Amino acid sequence: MRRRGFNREGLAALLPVLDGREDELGESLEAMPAGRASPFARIASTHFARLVLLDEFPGRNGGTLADMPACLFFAAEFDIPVAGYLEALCALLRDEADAIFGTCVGYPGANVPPLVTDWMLRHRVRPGFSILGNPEASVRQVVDSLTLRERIIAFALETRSLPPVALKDAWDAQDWGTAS
Amino acid sequence: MRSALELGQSFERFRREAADLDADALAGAWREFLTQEQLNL
Repeated sequence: MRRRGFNREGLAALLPVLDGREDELGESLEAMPAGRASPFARIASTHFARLVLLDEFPGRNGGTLADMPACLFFAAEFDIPVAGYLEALCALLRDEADAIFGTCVGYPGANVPPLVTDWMLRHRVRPGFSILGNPEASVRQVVDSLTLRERIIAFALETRSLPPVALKDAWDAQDWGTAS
Repeated sequence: MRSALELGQSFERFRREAADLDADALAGAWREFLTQEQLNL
């Protein structure tokens, strides 16, 4: 989906977990920082990324599906084509990718990005819908806007008691850059 | 996030308009901007 000069894409994949590696995967996911400290923040085009360990799947009549292995659900929304995103994942999250996806069946390793792309796309699932918090804005625009808001608030607090001339001097001294 | 995006657009307009204002006019315009945008701040 291309909007306002950027390419908005998403990926969802259901990755079977190797038998006996579920606890290890769960601990890795628990230890992963979230928000701006998330390793996925290293890929600047990431709107969000989610990793969920699914250890049972609901079946009919309130039961669970038998013979269905535990799976890692990986979902992400980003501003670049999916192949480029997976290459970036291998380059920028090499250790994390190996630790997490390495618990999944058939993961080839982040040192061979084309194989990771093939592997991930073979497990791609089509979600019924996507929730886009900011469908008209790129990640850069969102981050710049949040940073600008913090600066505006800080400036307002710093200058709230200043007389007009001093406020004008403070305003002129600001380099607001290119506001979005 | 949506409010931050809206604020960015409003601020850019304010910044253009504020470029030629003297101190008193800027102070008034700044107060008005903060009042109008308080829900986005």
